[in-house]
Amino acid sequence: MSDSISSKPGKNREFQKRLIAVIAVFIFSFIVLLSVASFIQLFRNPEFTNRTKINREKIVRIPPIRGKIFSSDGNILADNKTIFNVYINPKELSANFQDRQKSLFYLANVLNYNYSDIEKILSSKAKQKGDVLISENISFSNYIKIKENIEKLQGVIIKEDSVRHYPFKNTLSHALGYIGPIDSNEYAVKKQLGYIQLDVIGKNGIEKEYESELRGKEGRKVFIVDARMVIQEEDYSKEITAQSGSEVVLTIDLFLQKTIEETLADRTGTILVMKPHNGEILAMTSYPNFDPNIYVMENEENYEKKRMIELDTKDTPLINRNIQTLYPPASVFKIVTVTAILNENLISPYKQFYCGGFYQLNNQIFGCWIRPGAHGFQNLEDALANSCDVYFYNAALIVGIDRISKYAVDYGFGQPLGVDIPYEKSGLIPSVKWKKEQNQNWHHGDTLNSVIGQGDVKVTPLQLANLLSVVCNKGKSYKPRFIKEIRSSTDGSTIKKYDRELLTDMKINQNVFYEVEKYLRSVVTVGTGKWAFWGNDLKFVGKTGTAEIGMSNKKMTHSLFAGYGPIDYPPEERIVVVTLVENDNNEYLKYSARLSNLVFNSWYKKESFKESAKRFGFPILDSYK
Amino acid sequence: MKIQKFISNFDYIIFISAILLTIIGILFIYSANLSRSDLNREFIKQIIFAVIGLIILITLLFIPTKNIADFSLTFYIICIFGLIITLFFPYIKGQRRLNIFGASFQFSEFMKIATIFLLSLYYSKKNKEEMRNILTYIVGLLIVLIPVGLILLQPDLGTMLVFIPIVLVISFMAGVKKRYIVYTILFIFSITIIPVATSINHLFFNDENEFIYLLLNPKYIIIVFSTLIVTIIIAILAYFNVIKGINDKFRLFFYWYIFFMSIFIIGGALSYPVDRYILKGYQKDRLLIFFNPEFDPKGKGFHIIQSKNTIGNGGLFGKGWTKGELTQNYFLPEQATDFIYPVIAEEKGYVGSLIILILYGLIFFRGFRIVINARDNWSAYVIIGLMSMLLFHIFENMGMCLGIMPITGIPLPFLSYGGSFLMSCFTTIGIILNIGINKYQYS
Repeated sequence: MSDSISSKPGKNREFQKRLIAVIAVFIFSFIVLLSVASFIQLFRNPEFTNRTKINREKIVRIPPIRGKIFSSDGNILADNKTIFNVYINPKELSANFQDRQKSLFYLANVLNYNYSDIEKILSSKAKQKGDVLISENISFSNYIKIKENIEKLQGVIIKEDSVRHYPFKNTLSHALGYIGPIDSNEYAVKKQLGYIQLDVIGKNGIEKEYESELRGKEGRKVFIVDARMVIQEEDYSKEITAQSGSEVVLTIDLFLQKTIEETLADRTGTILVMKPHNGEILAMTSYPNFDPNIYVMENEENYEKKRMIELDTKDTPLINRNIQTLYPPASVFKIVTVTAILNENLISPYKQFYCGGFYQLNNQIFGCWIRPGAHGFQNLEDALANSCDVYFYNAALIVGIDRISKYAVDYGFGQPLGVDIPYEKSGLIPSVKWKKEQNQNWHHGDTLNSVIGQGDVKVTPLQLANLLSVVCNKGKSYKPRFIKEIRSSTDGSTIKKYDRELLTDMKINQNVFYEVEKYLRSVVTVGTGKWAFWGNDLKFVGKTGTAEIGMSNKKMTHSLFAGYGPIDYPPEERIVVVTLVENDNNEYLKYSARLSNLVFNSWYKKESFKESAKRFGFPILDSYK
Repeated sequence: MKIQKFISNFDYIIFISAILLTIIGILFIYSANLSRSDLNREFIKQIIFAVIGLIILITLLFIPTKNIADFSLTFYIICIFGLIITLFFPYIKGQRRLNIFGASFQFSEFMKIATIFLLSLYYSKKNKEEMRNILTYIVGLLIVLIPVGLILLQPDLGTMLVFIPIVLVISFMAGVKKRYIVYTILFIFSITIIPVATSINHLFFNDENEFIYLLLNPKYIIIVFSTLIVTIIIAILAYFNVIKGINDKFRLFFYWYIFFMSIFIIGGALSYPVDRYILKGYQKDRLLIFFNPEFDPKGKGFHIIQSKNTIGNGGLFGKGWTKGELTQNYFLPEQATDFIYPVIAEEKGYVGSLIILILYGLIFFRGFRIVINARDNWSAYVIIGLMSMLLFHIFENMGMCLGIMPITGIPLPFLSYGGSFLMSCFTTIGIILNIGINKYQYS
């Protein structure tokens, strides 16, 4: 230490210089720490405080109770059912092996499982956090058995869940629709409305259309948790109570609905009953149908049923034929031409055309349905009553396709009517312009096909109901609807009452419609509907039709009837009935008009299907008990 | 006379700062472990350690400085011996620890002080000319490398890092040429080239950066390194006049070329084994999450994200002692030892951060006063070494909590829970105070 003895290091110039450098490093380090601490603790404090809040919150969603759906006569069409699910919390299972085995054995016994099954479920879901689902929808007696011993069964939990239930099963299934788990497309759209991926959502029918009303508002509870997600306390200020969905009351009359379903029985087709006065749909059926309950609970049995329905491309049970299938309107479409003739005075109603069973246009033969017979001389009223095609072939060339398609569009064809269930089809009314868009020329033959409702004319049964409504209301019709009112589920008070909404207004002389009504009356008195309505003392009117689909040996014939009445009743008491029976091959008017007759009778006489059938000597099918 | 000198030269500010920091430490260790039933006696242990530390401190005050200096070599050898013994003990949390009758004792904590003593002793015996000799510096480095090697065998990378500032600052103060110091710093950085580059490649380039790919591809390693070696050989030949006819300016260029290139060639070459053998998987992960904590927020990045959240949640005045929202609810791991600072920062806020920084600042401020008045080189070097050690601890620990340094298990002086470390801190303060008292006492 020879150097250091002579002088202190602090007096050394070089040492001092280097010491200043070191001190500078120290000061720099402190400045860095201080500024970063200031930045994080002062400037970014709000951000971190917020993040802490979010980190510490655990939000438990409380799903709302879905609103019920009622028929107009007060029956519940869609209900909520409480089911019980059994869960096991693996962490709470007794550590004592014997106790654990005992409780699992008991559970297995009650649920009719093997002990090893439960152990298997537990080990397969060992990584899953929280409770493990053991059995879904256990019976009430099993629920009681487990609930009584719940204190002994450590770690076994029973949770209640509310699921949709459709008590009348297949009845009105198409109109009601069903609910199911939200899929990715729906989720993408509904995400902003607070849906999560585990939610159920209306998939079809009323359930889909009135989803926002039926769903209600989701509630939530907010808990403050620690890092282990253990709940410390509840934040009551952030609690939101769930609001049950509103109740939806439909215009459906359950008695009539059941009657028309019985009437249609297992024939593929549709029956639709509507009030022309305000557009209320009283009943609507489409066969084949389905049981919406199978979409609610996910289990193997239901999965199999769903698969069968999806695979059934011939009968297509999911399709609501009233609005989703397009048919040729056949002779019912002649009403449109008659309206045009009468309104524009194109042909005198007394003018007669001769029907020899066929009509020749250039080298082409257009037959009348009566061929090889003949109608002889027919005036307008005779032609509609007997549904004489030859008369209308003659008339069509005078009226012209432009008028026919104009009047058809005025009647509401070729566009969706806006009924309040989804997936309604628009149908098609051909015109010269439409044909041009298909790069084809319009021929007179097309006009002849169109006038008898064949060829390219495609309508839904609902549109036919609308046509008859217009005639019934003498020029006006109202939007067909299922909804009557929306009620609060808490106090039953009306939230929104739906009123009739004008859909079509033809704005032509009312006498035209009285004239048409007169002709339609002769259809069921002297014309093609005579035998079907034989013995019915109520004054109904209507038009029969035989829709032909396909060619030669693949030809299918659908029988059709669209009518309303009784014409001597005040307008608000009349109903429109449209019946369509598919593939009613070659047996002229076997069913549709007769079924309609039964429906009319059931409604006005308040008679069940069987009583009506007895009254009119209608054969009750074997499939019918 | 002696008592009077003692009273007048005793640095009360350092002493009180250290005591205050220890008390704050005990209070917040209590708070940090409040919700943990398995650890809630730690603060009592810390009190006992503090008392022992205080006894060590007071004892040190009465030992003449010269005796301490003479004891340096013995102390160093004892600690080396202790480190070797530690290597025969089983692993605890991935490190070998000396564990006798349940009490663990970490020689690495005292090794730091012993190394400072011996290095200072070695340098203080050299005169100014000898200090400019590179051999002196190399011997100095060797004194440090022996304990560094032993600590790396434990392995305890964090503690090893503390030796870097110690050797650099003491050598710098002792008068080693600046360029050697710069060389060492650059060398250390170049050793981390590969681990850092691979981390960056993984995080920001999805392992597809072409330049880094070249660095890791053996074919290109050979090309790059052989090119560098060839150019360096040419430069060496030119510098030592083997290649004739080069003027002095050019020779200077070659000197600096060798200076810098040798750093990268040796450091770069060393960084491959460092990446592969020395750095453990979790240490590379720490490097990854240092660059981007959100890389794995629930797993490896959890520490650092929660630490920042906790500090930021404190605000200006904090949530109050034992009322920290995150600290009391298990969000912060290791909060009594390595992460004690976030506890203080959350519960006492920015004010708490300021207070502890001011207390540390006071120790350093008074420490530098003692350095200036130190009676000999050994004393001056020792204090600067000890203070660098403390500063590195503070900067690394708080920096890690604040997210500006990678995570290493380095505790915060006086505040973190840990017996050996608290005693070594009190020893540090004891030495500093001893030198302060004896500033006029010449041997």
